[in-house]
Amino acid sequence: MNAFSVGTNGSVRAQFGDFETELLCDLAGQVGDLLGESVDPPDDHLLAIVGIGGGDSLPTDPAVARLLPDAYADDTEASTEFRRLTEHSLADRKIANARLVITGLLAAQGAEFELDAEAQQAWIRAITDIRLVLAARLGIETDDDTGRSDSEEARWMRDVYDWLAAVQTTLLEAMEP
Amino acid sequence: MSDTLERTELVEQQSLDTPWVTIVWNDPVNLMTYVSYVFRSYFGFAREKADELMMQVHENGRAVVASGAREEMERHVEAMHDFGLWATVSKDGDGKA
Repeated sequence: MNAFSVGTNGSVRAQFGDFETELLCDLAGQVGDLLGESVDPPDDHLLAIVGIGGGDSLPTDPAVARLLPDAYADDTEASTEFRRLTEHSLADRKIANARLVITGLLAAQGAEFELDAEAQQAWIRAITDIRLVLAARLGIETDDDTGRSDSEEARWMRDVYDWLAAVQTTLLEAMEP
Repeated sequence: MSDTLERTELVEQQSLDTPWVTIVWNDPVNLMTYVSYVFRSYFGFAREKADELMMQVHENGRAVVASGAREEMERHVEAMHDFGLWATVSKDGDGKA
């Protein structure tokens, strides 16, 4: 597996084959879409500009709920207030991370490319978000959970989920050699 | 001006009386190496402390990673959510921390 490596000058390098590029772009795109659709467009344009205008309660889709969780474990009112103030910008930052991953992959077209500090942060977060969504879809809820494997699709998602763990490990190792 | 000062003092007083904490919860998804990395890179913890907190999260299901004023804890929690970690704000000493 290529994924991430350290360049001779200490830089973080990335390389993904055609299939991996397509897969990562698809997954990052799906996470972006999921977030974009779930965060209600704010009525007030000014609020939208400053990033205020999230929903009132935990998103119903468990995958989105894991990406945009409650900030208070036992205080619904405080969670709602916090969500109203921060959810929209949190979702926007996650969408921006996913977009940066897609843009970088499409520009590289399978060739090796360098990740600056900003791109490293976007990638490490975007990979996490994709894995969180896959885990929610697979029903992985505890440490011992392997998730459902009742279909070809589920087994495939599990393979991708594990592959992304390996990809993230190579990124972490490249960032802190 | 004096109004602002009084309010600032009030906020400080409140945070002294009732410290708040940031709790990071265990999840089955995030890699232990990643959680430790987040603790080091965001909070600036040394590797030993970051690994210790990470193990606490893993084994006890949660760990208190910061304490202080409520607003500060909310910033930490939002940052943890940015990283994809599951974190919440709690009032210290209410039995949940």
